[in-house]
Amino acid sequence: MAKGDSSVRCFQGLLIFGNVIIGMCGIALTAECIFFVSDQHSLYPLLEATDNDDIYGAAWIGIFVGICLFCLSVLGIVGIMKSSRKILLVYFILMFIVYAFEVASSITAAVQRDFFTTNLFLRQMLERYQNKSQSNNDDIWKNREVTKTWDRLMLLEKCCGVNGPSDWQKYKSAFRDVNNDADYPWPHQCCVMDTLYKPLNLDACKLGVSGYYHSKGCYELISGPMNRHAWGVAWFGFAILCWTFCVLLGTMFYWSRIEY
Amino acid sequence: MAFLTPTLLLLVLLDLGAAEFNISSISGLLSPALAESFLVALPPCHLTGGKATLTVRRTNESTGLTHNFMVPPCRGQRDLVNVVYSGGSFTVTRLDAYQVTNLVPGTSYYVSYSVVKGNAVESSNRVQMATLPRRKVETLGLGMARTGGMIVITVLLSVAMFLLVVGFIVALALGARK
Repeated sequence: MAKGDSSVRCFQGLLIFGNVIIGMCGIALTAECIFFVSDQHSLYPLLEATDNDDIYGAAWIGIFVGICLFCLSVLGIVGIMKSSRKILLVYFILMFIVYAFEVASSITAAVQRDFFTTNLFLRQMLERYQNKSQSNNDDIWKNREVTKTWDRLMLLEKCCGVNGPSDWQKYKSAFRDVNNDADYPWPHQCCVMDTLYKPLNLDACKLGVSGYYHSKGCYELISGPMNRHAWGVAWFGFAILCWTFCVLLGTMFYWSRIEY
Repeated sequence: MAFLTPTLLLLVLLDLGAAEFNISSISGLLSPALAESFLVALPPCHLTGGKATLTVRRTNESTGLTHNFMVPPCRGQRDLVNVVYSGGSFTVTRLDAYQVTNLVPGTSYYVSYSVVKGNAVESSNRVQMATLPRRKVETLGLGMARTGGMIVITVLLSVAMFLLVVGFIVALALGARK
């Protein structure tokens, strides 16, 4: 392939453009995954307690894949401009490895998202909220973190339980084992609070009088951020992989036509 | 016979003194209510100060528990929640209901009143009320919500990976032949 040929230049330009896009997408992927890993809504303890926090693992992989994609795109641009077989061979090998990791990250995020059903969080809440059993350190820590997370969620987001306050009545729970039903039909965090975070009317809240307790469930507030996290990692990663697939095939063709 | 007449008269008077009033479920509350308690409306205002006996028994039993209390005074209407004072930055409310606690979840009960005020005795109708059934946590299924996206992404990315490997082998072969 004569290097001076205009069609070759055009093809080189296309491949360089493809690698520039890969580099920019890599940076964007890194930024997006850092945002998810930083857990802005402080919901990670709920996932950790379910032993089902693979979407965070997928996000961590996404951070490093993004950086690698940026670095490799620079390598690819240099290799294409110099028409160097050795540089492009290194580029291919490293790209395959990064590609495989990103495939794993995308599939993991897409699959794990399907675990986020209401029953998952409901069962965890009923088993762990205010559970003071001393089985082992891991359970003690998880129970404490789940309790803190739910207390904060119900207080600040003005919601109660997963589906509503009836969750605490319809099912047996660790909360019910330590709290009298008449005094605590549901946690007092479900009550409408005044400016000092005290229940507006505790008796009305305990009796379920409309306007004195939060009837809305918290599931949407938990699943919303988690679904956006999982979808972002999975489908943005998929989009990058589709583009990278095309660029890699083009670069392989270019490499096969380079003269020794 | 003469000594019987005053006794008979007394019995008739007592019989005329017994009256009935209605109680019903309370609206405006979370419904179905609670698993171990429920709220019963208080007797009407004209029985204020009377000694009320609330009888609660399971529908499949003949005897139950009784709860005794003094019928509280009415302030205006006998509503569940009454605003007693409202002004400035706070409101004082008053709740008028009797909460029966320590019940069994998922059970039906018959509830009725008998109120004694002076020489009069008034009874209420018998109302059937139930507590919410309570399930075990283990009955909650944890199945995944399987969506098509999971299948699509897995298939497409696996095929893409395979095609890339094949393409690399072909590129190697073409390059070597040159």
